[in-house]
Amino acid sequence: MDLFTLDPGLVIWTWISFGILFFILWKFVFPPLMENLKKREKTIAKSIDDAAAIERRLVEIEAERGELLKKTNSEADELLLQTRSDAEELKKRLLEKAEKEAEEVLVQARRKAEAEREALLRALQDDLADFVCDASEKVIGSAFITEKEREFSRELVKEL
Amino acid sequence: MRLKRLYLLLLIVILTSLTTSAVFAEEASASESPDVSGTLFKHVLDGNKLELFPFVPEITLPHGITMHRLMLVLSVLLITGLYSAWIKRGDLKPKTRTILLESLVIFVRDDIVYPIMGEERGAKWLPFFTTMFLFLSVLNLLGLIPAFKTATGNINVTTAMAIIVLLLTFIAGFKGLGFVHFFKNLFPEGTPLGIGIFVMLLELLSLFTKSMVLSLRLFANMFAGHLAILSFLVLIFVITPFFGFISVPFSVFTYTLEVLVGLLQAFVFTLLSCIFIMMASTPEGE
Repeated sequence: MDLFTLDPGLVIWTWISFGILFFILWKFVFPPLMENLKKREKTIAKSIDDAAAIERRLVEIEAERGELLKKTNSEADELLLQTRSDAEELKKRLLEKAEKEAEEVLVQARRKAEAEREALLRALQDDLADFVCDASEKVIGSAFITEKEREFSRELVKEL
Repeated sequence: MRLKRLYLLLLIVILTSLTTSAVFAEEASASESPDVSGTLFKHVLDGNKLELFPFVPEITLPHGITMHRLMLVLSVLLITGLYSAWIKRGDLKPKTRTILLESLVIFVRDDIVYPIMGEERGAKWLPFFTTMFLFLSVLNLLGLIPAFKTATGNINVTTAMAIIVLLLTFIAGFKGLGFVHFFKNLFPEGTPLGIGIFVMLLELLSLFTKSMVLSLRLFANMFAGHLAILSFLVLIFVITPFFGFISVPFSVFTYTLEVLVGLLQAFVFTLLSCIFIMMASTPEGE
């Protein structure tokens, strides 16, 4: 057989082989293959998109978390300051009230002591007048002092 | 370390067998002169004898079946068999073998068809060009298996493929541009009528020559490549059996190169076919 021998049979065999191969691949192999590729490409693209979205959301969440943390910190600080000032004011108010109450108690006690002293003094004067009258009666030896004189001697003692 | 020792052992075995066979061959070849061209062409040209192994009797193929025809059938069976067995619908987690088959299709799609034809048009042509790439690749590589032959090393096979491309060039051209516009497209605008007709004829002729060049390129590459491998080996018989120490490594190198050339030529054939069909069916200037 020569190198350039024309062989129409082989040409036809080539066409038929190629035709059969093309038909089988086109009809039975390509549809599932292309479908698989498309599905897989879609899945991969979706996964990449999802991953990017997740990453974006993660960054957002991280930022939100930071902001929230900052806000919470400032709120806590504010609350602490407020509490401190409230406590200070309450303390001041309580102190003032206590002082006032103490003063009142003191005034009352002073007033009471004064009244008691007055009462004591009065009783002492009465007793002294009675004592003087009684002593005078004993010296004189008779009960000459009338009730009116006795009252007079009491007034006298008071004036002393 | 173990692999290194294995390679060393393999080298020793090859060298010993080469030396032994060379000694025997020298004694045997002293009396007869070798038929170099006969030996060479016997392995490259078509025939109806299947030589499976040296010293084993040749198998004569049935009437009407030649080695190149057998290779055509074998390639069809191989491609359809592999693709039918390993491609399953809804397979979203493919195995390596499936990925390998799919990657060939993706290669044709992303590196040949879509860049040239665009996605919409390319999707319709993709099965055709993928079939062409797979068919030619397998035919080119089958010839590298001992006992097999390269069908694409036969000009009838490559011409048959080129005729398909030529016919499709015309069909796509007529369909894409219309019969009259297809020929009008070959006429350069703004040129005098005489020159225009001449150029149109040249352009028309170039459609045929381009397809025939496709055929010749593939044929020449495959034929020459396989001939190169065999030529190095035949030198053993021509010069001296001890030349095997040089020609066998060279032959192995050419063989490795042939694997690359086989795939590359299938790629080139498919790429150029795609360009020709696209050019013929696109108005000039687009």
